Amino acid sequence: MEELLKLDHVSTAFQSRSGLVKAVCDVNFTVSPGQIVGLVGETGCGKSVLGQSILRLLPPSAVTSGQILFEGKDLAAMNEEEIRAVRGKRIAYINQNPTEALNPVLKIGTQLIESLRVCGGLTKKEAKEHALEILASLSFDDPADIMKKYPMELSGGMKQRALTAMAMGGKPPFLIADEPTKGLDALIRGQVIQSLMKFVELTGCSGLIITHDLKFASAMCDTLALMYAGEIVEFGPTKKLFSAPKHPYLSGLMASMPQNGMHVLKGSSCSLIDMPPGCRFADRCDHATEACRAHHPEMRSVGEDRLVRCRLYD
Amino acid sequence: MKALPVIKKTAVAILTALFVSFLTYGLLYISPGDPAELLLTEKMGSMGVQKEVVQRYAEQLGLNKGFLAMYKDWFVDMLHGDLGTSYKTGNPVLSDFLSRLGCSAQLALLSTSISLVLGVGLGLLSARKRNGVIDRVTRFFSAISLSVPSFWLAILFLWVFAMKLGWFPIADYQGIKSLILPAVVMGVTGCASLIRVTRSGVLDNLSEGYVVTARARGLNDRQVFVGHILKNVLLPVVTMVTSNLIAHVGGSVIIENIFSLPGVGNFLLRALRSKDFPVILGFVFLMGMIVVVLTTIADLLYLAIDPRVRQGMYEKK
Amino acid sequence: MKRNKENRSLIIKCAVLGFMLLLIVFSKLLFGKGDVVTTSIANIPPCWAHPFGTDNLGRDLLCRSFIGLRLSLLMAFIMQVICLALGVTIGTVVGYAGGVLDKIFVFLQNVILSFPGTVLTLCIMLLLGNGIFSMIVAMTIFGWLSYARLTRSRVLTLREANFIKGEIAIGSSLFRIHLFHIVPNVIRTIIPMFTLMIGHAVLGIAGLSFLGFGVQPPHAEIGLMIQDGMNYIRSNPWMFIFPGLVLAVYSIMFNTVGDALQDKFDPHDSVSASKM
Repeated sequence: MEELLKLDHVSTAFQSRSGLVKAVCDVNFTVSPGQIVGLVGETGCGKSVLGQSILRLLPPSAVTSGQILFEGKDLAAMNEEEIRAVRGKRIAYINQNPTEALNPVLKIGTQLIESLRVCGGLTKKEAKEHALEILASLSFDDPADIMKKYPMELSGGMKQRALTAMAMGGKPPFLIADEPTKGLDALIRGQVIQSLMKFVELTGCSGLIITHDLKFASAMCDTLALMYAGEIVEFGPTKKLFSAPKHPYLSGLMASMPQNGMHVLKGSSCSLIDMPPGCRFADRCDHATEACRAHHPEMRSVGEDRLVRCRLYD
Repeated sequence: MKALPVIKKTAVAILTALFVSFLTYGLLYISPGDPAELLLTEKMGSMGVQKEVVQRYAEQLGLNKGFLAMYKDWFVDMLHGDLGTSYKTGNPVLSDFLSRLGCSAQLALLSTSISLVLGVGLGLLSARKRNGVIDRVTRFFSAISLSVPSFWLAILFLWVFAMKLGWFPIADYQGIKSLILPAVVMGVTGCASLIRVTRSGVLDNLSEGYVVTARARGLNDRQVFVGHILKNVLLPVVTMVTSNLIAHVGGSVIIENIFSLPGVGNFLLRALRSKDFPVILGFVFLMGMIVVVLTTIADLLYLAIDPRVRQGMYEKK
Repeated sequence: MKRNKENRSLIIKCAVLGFMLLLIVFSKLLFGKGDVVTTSIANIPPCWAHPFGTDNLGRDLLCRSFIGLRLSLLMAFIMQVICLALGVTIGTVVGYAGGVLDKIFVFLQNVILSFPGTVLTLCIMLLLGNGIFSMIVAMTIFGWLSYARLTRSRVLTLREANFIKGEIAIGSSLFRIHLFHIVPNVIRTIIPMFTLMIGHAVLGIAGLSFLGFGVQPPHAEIGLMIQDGMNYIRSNPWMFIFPGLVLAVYSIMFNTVGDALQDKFDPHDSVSASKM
């Protein structure tokens, strides 16, 4: 299988007031055409930073190293002009928190038409017609009315759909969605999942879905990458991961889900500034040994297309 | 729907104006000195004036009626455009005001334009390269311009540019030529707040989610800046410009005095020194009215610029 | 480590301001000798013996500037303390009570703000007569409002804050909440503002005295000295330049320290109050 996106030793760090934050450490994985990968982890584990690193959307204080190959070209090595040609047109990005992701003082129509024109080189009139079509395809009842509204006049779910519409403009082959369900109630979450499904169906794209919501990830993604404290700790097909979790962190997460009895994972994630020398999960792990605390584990293969970062599987 | 906030704003403005007039009148009512006596002394010269004469004169003028009745008289006259006559010049206060308004208005507009260009320009420049050379220089400049006493700067400029270099007229008023120097002083000392508002506005907005979204959609820096950030920064800028203008409606008293300009502020100052009450009352009232009008215009501008303000007004209801 | 650097620069700024204030406090002792009429040394331009020169009556301008600033600063301090006490009290009460009281406050604020500040102050000075006391009263009438507005908005946001709601939910008394949560939070914003406002007040006092409405001639005061200097602008320009320069330096220091304090205590709200 050829690969669409290949992350090769990607790390991102940025300087903060209290020190160097190593938000993403040595991430390797690939996404093939048609594949939807879910990047799952708790808040603050660096998954959003990784998503923004791919499109180089982070502030200049963040430094990314490694290779980000997309369609064979290294995004990390591109100049500003080249990466801009990728943004929106080849890779769409849906920001977390729809309330903040839309410009509050511009109408939905203005923002939507603008992104369509940037992507497709359309005239204003063509872009407007196209915008109406897209809105209709995302099951907005009255697209013309939505175009005239300001973001704050829409509900959370509607904003999310408007954002999705903006991302769809360039018919991109790849989508990065950052926490699309964060802070939404169950009903709206359903709508969002629906609109994202629709997006994938209409554009036939592959994608990287960043979320902390295991249930949502299992519904959307065929492959999961589990992230902990800046590292990928487990990678593999969604179904297999859920049926037989390997990493103690994943087992712990699954045990904490409501249907599995809500056994809360003890402790909290280590700081991204002062990392322990050994396994980063050791302090919260029931199986941790002296070796776990002393030596940092590498990713190892466990069965067909499954990888895990844990000594238990040596 | 859309007319509602406009009506509400206007109603508040009218109420404020009424209260301003009431307060002004009240202030002068309790001021020391009997206006009738002052008037008579003015008319007859400085010789002692007899008490009975003063009383009769006060009755004649309606000055012994009690506060509310007098206020009513004054208010009704005011509605007819009669704000009394100056003790000193004998001219109607309104015509004195209007004849001096031109100079002050020009000065206010000129100086506000200077601070607007300087403030927004420098603010944008310094925000684009945070902590760069331009940013550091600008921050230093804004700290100085906020702290330097404007009247001192005015004298310094007068001394250097008008007296030493002879570029500008000193005492005789020559229209716009005489206004340049004072306008520059007011513009420079007034731009600091605008620099700060613009700079911090841009910097705050840069980290907003919508900027990330805009960049992720493939917009270039210029498109993000002009199309997205600028409109978000406009609101605080409008607020600052209005407060600058308001400060200059009467805050130019000192500057007008130093450059001996025939403006409203300078005339008011002379009236204050000679206790010319009708002029003081009329001028303060008219300035208050101008401020009320300016504030209302600014409020209406917000409504036009920022949909959030519109929404806020409905939500409060 | 970046934080340490910031702290160090704040400490240095405060130390400089502290030293400058000491100069002022002991100005009578340090500079008293120079502030006497000695016609034999009148109108001397700046030189080693008299760095700022002397005025038309032979008073040393360096000494006189510091002595003049002492009065302005003392007045500024007194009026700002009154403004702060008044403003914080009214702001807190209004912020808590809300409802009609709050509406009245907002309306009154709009009314007061409808007068250009200088004009209102001048009018009140006219009623009270010229002089130091009436200047303090007149400037206080305008000055308390800034503190009240800030306190009110702080109290309003804090009242909605989750940790305050939590306190209310667990049944803490209003007094306790106020003492342990609101007061410290408000102080964080008020201290930088106080510093900034002292700088502004000193400028305001000088401006009023310059116009002849504030401090009256026998006293030394910067605004008066500049007014004096303007009369000799052609022959003795140093008479207005140096007192103004001293005033500017002090005002810059107050603003710098105020801004630095604001950055430390309240980084999100770094736009300082606008000039009067």
